[in-house]
Order: sequence, then structure tokens, then C-alpha cells
Amino acid sequence: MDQTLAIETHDLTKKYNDFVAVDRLNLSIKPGELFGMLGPNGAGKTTTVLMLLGLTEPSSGTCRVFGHDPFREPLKVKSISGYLAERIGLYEDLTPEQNLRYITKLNQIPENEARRRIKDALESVGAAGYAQTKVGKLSRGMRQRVGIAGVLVKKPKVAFFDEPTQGLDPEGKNELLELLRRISKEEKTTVLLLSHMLADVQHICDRIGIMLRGKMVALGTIEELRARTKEDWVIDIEAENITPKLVHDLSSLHGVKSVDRSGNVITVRSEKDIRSAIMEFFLQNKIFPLSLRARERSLEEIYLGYLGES
Amino acid sequence: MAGTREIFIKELSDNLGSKRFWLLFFIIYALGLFMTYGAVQNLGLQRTLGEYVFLQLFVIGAQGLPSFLWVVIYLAPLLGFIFTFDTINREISSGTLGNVLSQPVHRDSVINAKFLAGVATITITLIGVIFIQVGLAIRAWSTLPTLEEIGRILIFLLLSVVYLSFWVALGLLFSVIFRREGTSALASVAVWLFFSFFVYMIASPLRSSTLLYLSPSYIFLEASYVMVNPWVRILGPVSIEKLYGMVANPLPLDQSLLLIWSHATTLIAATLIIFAISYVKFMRQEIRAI
Repeated sequence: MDQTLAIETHDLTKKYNDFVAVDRLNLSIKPGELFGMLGPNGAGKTTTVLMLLGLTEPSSGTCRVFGHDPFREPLKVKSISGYLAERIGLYEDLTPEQNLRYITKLNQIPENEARRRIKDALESVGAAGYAQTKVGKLSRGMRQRVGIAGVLVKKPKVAFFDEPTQGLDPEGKNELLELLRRISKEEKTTVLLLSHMLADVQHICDRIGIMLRGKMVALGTIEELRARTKEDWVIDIEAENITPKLVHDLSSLHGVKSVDRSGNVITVRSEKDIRSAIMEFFLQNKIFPLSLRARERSLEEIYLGYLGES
Repeated sequence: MAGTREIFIKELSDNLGSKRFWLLFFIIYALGLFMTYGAVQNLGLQRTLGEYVFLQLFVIGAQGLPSFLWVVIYLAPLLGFIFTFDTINREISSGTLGNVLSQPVHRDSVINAKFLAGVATITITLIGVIFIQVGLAIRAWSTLPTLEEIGRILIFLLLSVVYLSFWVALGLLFSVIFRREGTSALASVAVWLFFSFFVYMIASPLRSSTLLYLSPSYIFLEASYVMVNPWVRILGPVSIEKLYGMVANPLPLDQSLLLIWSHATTLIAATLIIFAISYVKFMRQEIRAI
């Protein structure tokens, strides 16, 4: 392989007594990728990250972060990776600036450089105005931002965010996700976003992995995941002069499972994407649909589909 | 070790900046100064009485008040464990430990730095109060301590640091063992009460002096008493035969040291064992819980 992968795991397994938290996980993430790891609580997402950071020892299997083994070179791996835990882990009696300063000290970043990085990090997460307020007095959303700034000051090559949107209002959530996307794109940081909320990862992640009971049950881009599910396509066609015969003929089209009509709108369910066939059918019948639109199947359903399958 | 220095500095400044520190600091310094004043008043200027007038500062209390030695034995242990009893479990419950450990630091740097910061805090406190006491006495008596006195005071100081380090380590152990800060606080106080007071209640009716040697407080009491009291020539149960022909002279420093050598090593060993247990416990703790 000519290019070092950002994250690479090979049959990574973690057992707690009889409980298998992570089960032979194979994962490769390229540098610069924004990867969303989706799964319900207790699926093994956090455990995977802890192993990647060298904080928990794998029961078997190997993992590499930019080619470094977290167990042989823990300090190396920890210095190139940033981790925002589910509990953010800021000292409440210190200000954001002091918290960040402590992190730069633990990372042996020289004082001048540290000062600049702290300022930049707090500005880029939009917490500069609260730099001197004690963390204990900050809102949940602002703490998340400071926590992210704590990851940014390290200028990590790879950053792990564990449930960063938990407990945020919808607006805060969107801003935060946008921030993560920006970090990934502008700073060229590899980002691993852990979440049990599909809405979090759906729009910003390049690739998504769905994890269930320690196993990666699905992996790919959103489109790939969609294509792989058994769910029907739902296509709405709006047209004038719809006759019962037309509806009948439409239902005999290849691949159509059902046709419903309500007023000017016909809803076709099919196994595959048959939009072109439908379009042709209408044109043959000299009807020009006002609109033809495939309903975007929400990934939520797909995700729930995976959850239901297991 | 990577990170030890940075964590040590943070812990030390946390310790010195905390309210609990200033509360105990104030009590200990107030008692120390008051006792010195009382001792100076009581002793008057009696440099001619004996050569060890500066040592008496620590064993003679002011009117009805206990001596400074008493303060170090019974009260100062609070200063030892008050910083450490929640130092690990609080960081676990607030999630800050996870954050620190995901930085490029070794895991044992955390516990080493916390222990050292506790020891540094008590050392600073003790040096401060003892130096002030000696300084006040120098002023009051217009005389300087002899070399022997200085030596004995320094060894007393060293013993005190070791003794209080035991309590630092004990608090640390409880903070590693117990998840809840309240539990570890109660456990620390319980051990402190037992070793400081209850052990005498059990030992004296049983007439068992060996039982007393289970208590670090008692071991320290004997050792430091020998150090600040050169007239003590013998420790433990004494037979008439032993006393026969004994000269009632003060012992030279090296002989006093010989007398307490086992005490000092016991205290050091106990401290190290307690610290080692908490070290191992901490290193083996599953990080998932952190």
C-alpha cells in the first residue's frame, strides 16, 4: 500500500469476561475522511475508539493509527489524535483558556505556539467570548465547543468525537455538525464521528459504518447503504387527466408493486428505481406529468431496518 | 516520565489554591504560633536550663494546650489525605481523567504526580510553620539554635513529612478504590480516627504495647518524641535490670537516630506499600469505567 491509512483495524476484538464488546472488526479509514460510526448504545463504538487510542487493550487483533500501533507507541498515537469523550472532561473550576492551556502543556507545545493555537481554536469554535468564564458556568453547547477546541489545539491528524451532539438543541446540533464538517474539510483532519443518531451522520459524513453488537454490519456511503436495503422505492407522479385505465396500465408495468391514486397524484411503489420506465409510459400515453419525484427514503428507516434485522 | 511535571504543577497549584487547604493551613499555623508563643512564655529565657531549649518548643504546650507535636500527630494527617481522598474518583466522575489520559502522558504519571503534589503540599506547610516557630523563638530568646538542635529539628521535619506522606498515600488509595467521593472521605476519616484515638482505647485495657505499633501515629509519636527529647534513652517495655546503672544524660543525635531507625523504616515502608497498592489498582483499572 503506497498510502498510509489513517485508521486500520484487523480482526480487532475486545472481550469483557464473556461479553464481546467488539467482534473481529475490520475497518480502514483514509486520511482526510469524515467517517460516521453509527450504532445504538453499547454497540462497541466507544470501545473501538479506546482501543485505537491505546487506552484499552484489545483482546485480539491489531489496529494502527497512521501506521502506529497504539500499544507499542501510545504516546505517539495520543499526540497525533484528539479525542472528545462523551463526558467532555473539562475542569469546571478552570476557564476554557486554562483548560486548553493544560492540554497544550501535556502535549509539550511551546508557550508561544500554544497561546496562538488556543486563541485560534477558541475562535474557530465560536467560544472566544467565553475564554475567561469558568467552564462550570457555561451551557452544554458551549462546553461542547470548548471540548472541540481542546481537540483542535493539538492539531491532530485524526480526531474522535464521541456523541458530540448529545444534549444539544436542534440548532446547536446543526451548528456543531457544520463545525465538524469544516474541521474535516479545512484542516484536512481525519474525523471519526460516533453517534447513535442517524440524523447526525447522515448529512456530513463521507462514509458511514453501522455497528451492532460489536460488529460492523454495514459500511459505505449513504447511497451505497440505501441501495443495499430491501426497502421499496416510492415515486410520486403529479399529472392532470388521470384515468382509471392509466392507473391500471401503470400497475402492470414491470417491477411495480402497487399503485395508489389520490386526486392528481399517483404513488408508485417498486423494488427498483423505475423512474425512466414511468416517464416513458406517460409520454407514450401523451401525458406530461407536472412532477415526478422519488421520495427520499430516510436513512432512519434504513438504520432501523438494520436494527430490526439483527 | 511524560507529563508528570505538568500534572504535578497543576495538582500542586490546585492544592495550594483550594479552600480546604487554607482552612487547615490557618488552623495549623494558628495553633503552631500560639503554642510557640505559649512555650516561649512558659520557658521564659531559660537557655541555661538545658541545651535543647529549641526542641522543647515542640513538646511543651502553652497553658493547658497540647504541644505542636500533638498537632502534627493527630491533626496534620487531615492535611495529608484531604487533597488525595477524592483526587482520582472525582476526576473519573467528571470525565477529566479520560481527557488527561488521551493526551500523550503515561498513565502512571497521573498517580505519581498526584502523590508527589500531596507530599509537596505538606512539606511546604510543615517547613513554613516550623521555620516560623524557630524564628519566633530566636527573636524571643535572642539566641541561635545549636547545630545539634538544627539537626534534630530537620530530622523531626523529615519524619513528619514521611508520616504525613503515609496519609497522602492512604487518601490516594481510597480515591482509587472507592467510586464515590463521600465513601472515600469517610473511609479516610475512619482510619484516621482509629489510628489516632481508638487504637489506644483497645490497647490500654489489653495492656498490649505491640498493638500500638500497628498505628503509624504511635510509631511516629515515639520516633519524633525521641528526636525532640534527647533524654529519652530507651523505648518500649523497660525492665528494672535495664534501668540499673543507666546514666540520665541526653543522648547524642546519632544514638537517638539509632533508637528510632526501625520506626523510620517502618513508616517509609508502610507509605510505600500503601502507595504501591494504589498504583497497581490504578494501573489495572479498566479505562472503560474512566
